[in-house]
Amino acid sequence: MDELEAIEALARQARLEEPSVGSVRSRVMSHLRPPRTVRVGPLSLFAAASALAASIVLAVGMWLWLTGSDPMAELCAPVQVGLLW
Amino acid sequence: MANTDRDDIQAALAGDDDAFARIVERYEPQVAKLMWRFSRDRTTCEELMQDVFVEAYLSLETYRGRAPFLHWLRRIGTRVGYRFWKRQQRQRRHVPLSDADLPAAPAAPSDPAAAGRVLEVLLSQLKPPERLVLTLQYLEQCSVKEIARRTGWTAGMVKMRAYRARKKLRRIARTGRLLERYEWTS
Repeated sequence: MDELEAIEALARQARLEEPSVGSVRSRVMSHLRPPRTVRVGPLSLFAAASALAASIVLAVGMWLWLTGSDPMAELCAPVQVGLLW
Repeated sequence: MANTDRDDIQAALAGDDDAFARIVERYEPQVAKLMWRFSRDRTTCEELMQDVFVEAYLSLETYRGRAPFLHWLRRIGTRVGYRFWKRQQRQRRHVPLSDADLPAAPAAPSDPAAAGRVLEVLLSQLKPPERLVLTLQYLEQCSVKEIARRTGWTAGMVKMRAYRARKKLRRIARTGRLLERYEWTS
């Protein structure tokens, strides 16, 4: 027997093989179907409220920083003594 | 084309996903059998099957209905499998066939899975175009005309590739002492 005849004999046997694979139907369909739309209403509302609160805190913080006196400077400043009488 | 196929294709084109699910269910066994020729790994084979059906869905509009739907699917499957082999070839270096590559001779002389494994090792030594021609010839029993139709190559090119591939395969089988190893094939 020649090598190619042996390979053909192998192929005859291999043709009878049943593949051991599962169904791909659900995977195919989930790949093709567009993803479900997620309700973003409550989430976006919460995000907007958080952003607003953060902006307010930032604005107040900046105002205090720019207008307020330096507590360290006040600590080191000489005590003003004045006669009350 | 069967009426059920025609109805399901038209419904799928109209947006009915369940119709395409029925098509997948109907042709899954045949597509599985074809893609098993390209990869004997269960996970990879399932991925290839998925690719075939997704590609079929995306190009469903181009199906003219002149040939049976299964023929069209097989053509897509051949393309998907061939692409997979080419990708695989780019990622790994060629490993020459050594004694360790060939699986041990199976106990049962008529074990199709064992025969499939041996054949896969032998054919994987060829370049993707040659491997494709011989895989389609040996395992899918395709004629030259059918291979040309599935691959888009000319019949002359298929014949030439088959001739070269057989010559190479004989040399590989001789190097691997195939006849001595697998006496049961005779």
